[in-house]
Amino acid sequence: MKFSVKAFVLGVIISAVFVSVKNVYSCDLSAQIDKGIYRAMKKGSIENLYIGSSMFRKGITLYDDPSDSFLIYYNGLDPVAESLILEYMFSNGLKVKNLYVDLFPSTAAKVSWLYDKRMMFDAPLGLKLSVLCQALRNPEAEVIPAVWELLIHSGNDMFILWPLYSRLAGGRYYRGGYSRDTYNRGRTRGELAAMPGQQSESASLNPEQKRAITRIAELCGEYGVNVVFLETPKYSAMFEGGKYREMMGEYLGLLEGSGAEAVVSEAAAGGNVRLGVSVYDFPNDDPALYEDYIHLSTEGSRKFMEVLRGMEGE
Amino acid sequence: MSVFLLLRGGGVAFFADIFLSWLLAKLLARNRNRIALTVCITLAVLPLVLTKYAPFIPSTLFAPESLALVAMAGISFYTLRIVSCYADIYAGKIDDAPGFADYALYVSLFTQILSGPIMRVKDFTGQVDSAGFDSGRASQGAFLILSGLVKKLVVANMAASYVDSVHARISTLPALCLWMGAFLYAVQIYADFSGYSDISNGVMLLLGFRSTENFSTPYFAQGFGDFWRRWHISLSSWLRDYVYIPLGGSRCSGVRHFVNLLATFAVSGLWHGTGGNFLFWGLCHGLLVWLSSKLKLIRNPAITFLLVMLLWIPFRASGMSQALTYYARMFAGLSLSTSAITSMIVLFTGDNTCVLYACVLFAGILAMFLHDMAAFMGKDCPFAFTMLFTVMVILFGRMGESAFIYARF
Amino acid sequence: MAENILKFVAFSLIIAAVYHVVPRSLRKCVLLVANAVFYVSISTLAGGGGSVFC
Repeated sequence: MKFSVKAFVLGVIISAVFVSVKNVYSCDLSAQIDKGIYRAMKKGSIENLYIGSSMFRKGITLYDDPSDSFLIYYNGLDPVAESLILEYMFSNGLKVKNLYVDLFPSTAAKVSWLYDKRMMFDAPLGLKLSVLCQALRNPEAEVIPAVWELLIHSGNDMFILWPLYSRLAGGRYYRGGYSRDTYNRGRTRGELAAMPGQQSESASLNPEQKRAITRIAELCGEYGVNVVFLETPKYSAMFEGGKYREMMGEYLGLLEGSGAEAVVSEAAAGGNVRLGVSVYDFPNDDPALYEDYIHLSTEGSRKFMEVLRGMEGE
Repeated sequence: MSVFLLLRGGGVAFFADIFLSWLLAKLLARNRNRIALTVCITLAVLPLVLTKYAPFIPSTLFAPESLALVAMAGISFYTLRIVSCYADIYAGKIDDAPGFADYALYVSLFTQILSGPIMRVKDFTGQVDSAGFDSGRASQGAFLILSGLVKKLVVANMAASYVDSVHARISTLPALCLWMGAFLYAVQIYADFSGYSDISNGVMLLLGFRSTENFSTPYFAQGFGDFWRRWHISLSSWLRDYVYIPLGGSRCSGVRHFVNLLATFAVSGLWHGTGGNFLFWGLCHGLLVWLSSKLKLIRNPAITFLLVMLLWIPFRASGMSQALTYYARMFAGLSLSTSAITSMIVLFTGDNTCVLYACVLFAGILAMFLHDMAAFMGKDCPFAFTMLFTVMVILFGRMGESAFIYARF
Repeated sequence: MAENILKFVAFSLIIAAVYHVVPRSLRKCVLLVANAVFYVSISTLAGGGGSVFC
């Protein structure tokens, strides 16, 4: 079979048009099913905004929350990505009273990862370009693969099959987080023991992530946002070896004097009592409350929300 | 000699190997006898044997670790080219070894060094002086490159994700996931390898050479004999001409014929890899080639595909133990319950985009097979396929994935 | 690596273009040099560096 130059050029044009339309309008699609960055921005103002990783998605349930709240989560979302998202949202007019940021030292120990296709799908074009610029700051990044992954390739299946995806996923979101339809069961002690460990390889935070954490606190100061770095409960095995508590100490040290508060579990604080740090008590040895070492089950999440409401009441 | 030169590092060793093997070819052309042929072939195969099979050589006989052997890229493929050159000289198919430049080009051709196709020296040298720009060939070549990119970047790389997930959790996944994993590995290895062959042939056509057919809709084969006339054609014809026929082929007693088949496919298995799983794979194929001539049932295309698919399992597995575990799990407790089907689908991505991923992957598989059938039937739809493949590569091509499967052999 | 497949295709296209532009007597040289460049870049050396194609 022979190569048709006209067909090739037409194929490139069609792809370019598709990619352009996707990069501009994909965020609108996500907003339709009550999730994502652009949905939050369209609200204009939010009383309680939660931003984090899958730990927040599974740990923070909002369908019983009477306040004006919204959750932005992406798998593995790290402080670098969070700072980019928040900077974009605040500078484009979103007003937030209270911001809750996912506090997980292990993520902050890693090199930043910005290639989450759903984050890119939900992001408006300006934020997509910010993420690309940030990705290219990594000395090991190459321009063409980064542009390909972030702008050209990311989310095409969702965009092209949106009618199918919105039917499958639409009812599962409420204010960005889980709706009542989703149930994550807890585990048995044996099931948790059989899971691969989720300990960090490093025992100290990544410098770029540390700068991002500080930047988040600065941004909140600039825009008058009350910021709380919130740690969701972790299963007891996470504390073995001491690395987690060590990194937690480093993380909390960064926040000292920044104007940001921190809320961590008693097990994680391990005696790291500091100004601006509130500690909550949560059973970290009851496997029914956990889906794995770092994610809460639905039961665990309900219990955690009760604990948080109790703290707010105080 | 080649062994000694391996010490010096891959590139230098390779170039020196080309020169030495060319000298041997020249000597063989002047002394066409069995002893000379045996010596030449032994020296040609020795680096491959030592680099691939060194860990299995008893240390009482030899201490390979003292030689710091390194595996040279493409060694499996270019060794076959050298051996076929020697055999053709001995058989009188070519009068003399080609000139050094032609020989060096033949052994080291960049489009084919990593994963073939395995060209014969006469086919290559016959074209090397006359190859020139031909717009028709260039156009075909460009299309083949595009087709190869779709097969590799879209179909193979997308299927690989699922296959890797399955092989990482064989003991815990439902049987249905393992069946899907087996099917997608059959898709992956075909798309990966035929994709590479398409790109290789496409480049050859751009250079003005003829292409070497390496795949011809193998999964529509009727029986295993037919399968090996359609799959990795350049290797199967090499094995036929340089192993099977010299052993006696089918022109001997039934038992001897059977033994010849098994021996040939044992060589094929061991060429692909050193583990017992590769030997098992080769021997099973040899047995099924023999059975295909006896049992009509095996010549049914669906049965042939099913058996081929099941035999890819040890090929992909890390060893025979893992392959046996895979088989056991596949056939124990196979269920089509909602939970099993859901697990099978969710495994595509692990989240709620799994259905989308599966849709894109299967659309890619369909496009690939439609094109292969169209090409096989001589139907020409250049406009439609060029546009479709261009869009698919740009929008769904996955970068940063695994290397070509056959490049590791 | 898939992006290196694209580099391989780009390399091949460049070599094909050069191959057809140079005088016929130099064509074998072009291919030999291409083979050498390609092989050195992909060969696995003990302690050696990476390659644009791998």
